[in-house]
Amino acid sequence: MFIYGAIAIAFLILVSKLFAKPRPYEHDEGISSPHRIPVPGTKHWLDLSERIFNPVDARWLKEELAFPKLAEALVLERKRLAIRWLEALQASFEEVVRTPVLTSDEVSDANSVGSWQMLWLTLRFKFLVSYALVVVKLFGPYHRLVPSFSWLPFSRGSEGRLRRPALANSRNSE
Amino acid sequence: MHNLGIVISICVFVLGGLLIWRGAGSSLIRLFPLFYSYIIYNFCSFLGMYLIYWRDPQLYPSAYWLYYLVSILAEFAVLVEISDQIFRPFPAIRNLGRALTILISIAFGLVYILPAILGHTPRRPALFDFALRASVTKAVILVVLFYVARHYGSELGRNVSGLMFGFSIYLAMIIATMAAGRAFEPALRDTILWVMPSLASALCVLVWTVSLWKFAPMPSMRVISTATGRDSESVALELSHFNSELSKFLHK
Repeated sequence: MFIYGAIAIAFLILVSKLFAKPRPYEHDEGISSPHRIPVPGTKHWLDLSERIFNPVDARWLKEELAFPKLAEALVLERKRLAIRWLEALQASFEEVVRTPVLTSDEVSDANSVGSWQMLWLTLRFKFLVSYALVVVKLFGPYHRLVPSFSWLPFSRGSEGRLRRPALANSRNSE
Repeated sequence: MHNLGIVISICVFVLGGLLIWRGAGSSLIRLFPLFYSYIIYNFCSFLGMYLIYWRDPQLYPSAYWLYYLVSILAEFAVLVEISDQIFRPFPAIRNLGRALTILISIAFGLVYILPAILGHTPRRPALFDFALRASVTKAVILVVLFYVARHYGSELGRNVSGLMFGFSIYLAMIIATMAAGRAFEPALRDTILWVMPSLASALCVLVWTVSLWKFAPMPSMRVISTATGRDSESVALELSHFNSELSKFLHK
């Protein structure tokens, strides 16, 4: 009985605390203004992400110029940038989610299929970006986010064939 | 005590009628459809229960428990209404509250409520346990909704805040009452059960009547810029765009 009495009192205290006015959301939380990351979706933003997640520069320093320590420093710097890029992407997404929108009908269309699909997209994005952040923080920016299954004998050959021309193309474009 | 219980019940009935009358006179009944359905159900049930009480007192205890069990389930409509209202201005997470309510209800129903019903052989303790555990489940849902609403910076406004606050008072009192009902001897328990649920309902409906006296738009709805032309479809497009960009990186 006393446990449930305590639960009832704790519940009321918690609710009264949660009634306090919520802290307004700040768009650029944690991202200082002098180092703003380009607006997501723009060409500059995509170019930046391609550069951050591309291992070619580090490989070039390590294998072709034989500067392993410099390559290591570059990987660390790219890891920091990758984390900031993912956090900026997350912040931009949060802004989209948190911006109120006036619907044509005052009554909410909570049952509509569109609303459930949007919720699915929101949760999917949040899960994937959190997963990507964990992988980048643990293994760095050049680790595969989706398992490659390269340990399987039949997948090893096809992966190598796919990776080599991509690497060559990226070097040629620079 | 007996008369006090009846007086409190009549107060609940009057306040409920007032709430329906105010809601019908304004746009509130259209904006809070599930909530007003619950209030109308309670209003009609009250009339039915008192008819049974005066016509056939022997039938009243069974009828009361049946009404009470249906009410426990009907109260989930209030939670669904609250969850819909909290996220109404945010199209991307408009159904988040409803999804949370359904998921927590299913999880607690399977793990916490169902074993209590199946475990008891006498009917009365099982009913007490069911009422108690269902109320705890509702309290958990309410706390989660409060927390998520705060996380997303949803300013609730007077109508929705009142709904949540009134329901919180009701749940806290019901949890305490049902816990006491399990612990005390039958005579004291019956007295408590005669007065306390009615008192909890009276306080709850009083808060609801005050907060829903007139329509008060949610503060976040006032700051919406219509000049940008942003609507639900554009939000859906932006969400798809973000997802496809992220998926590209995941598959590299």
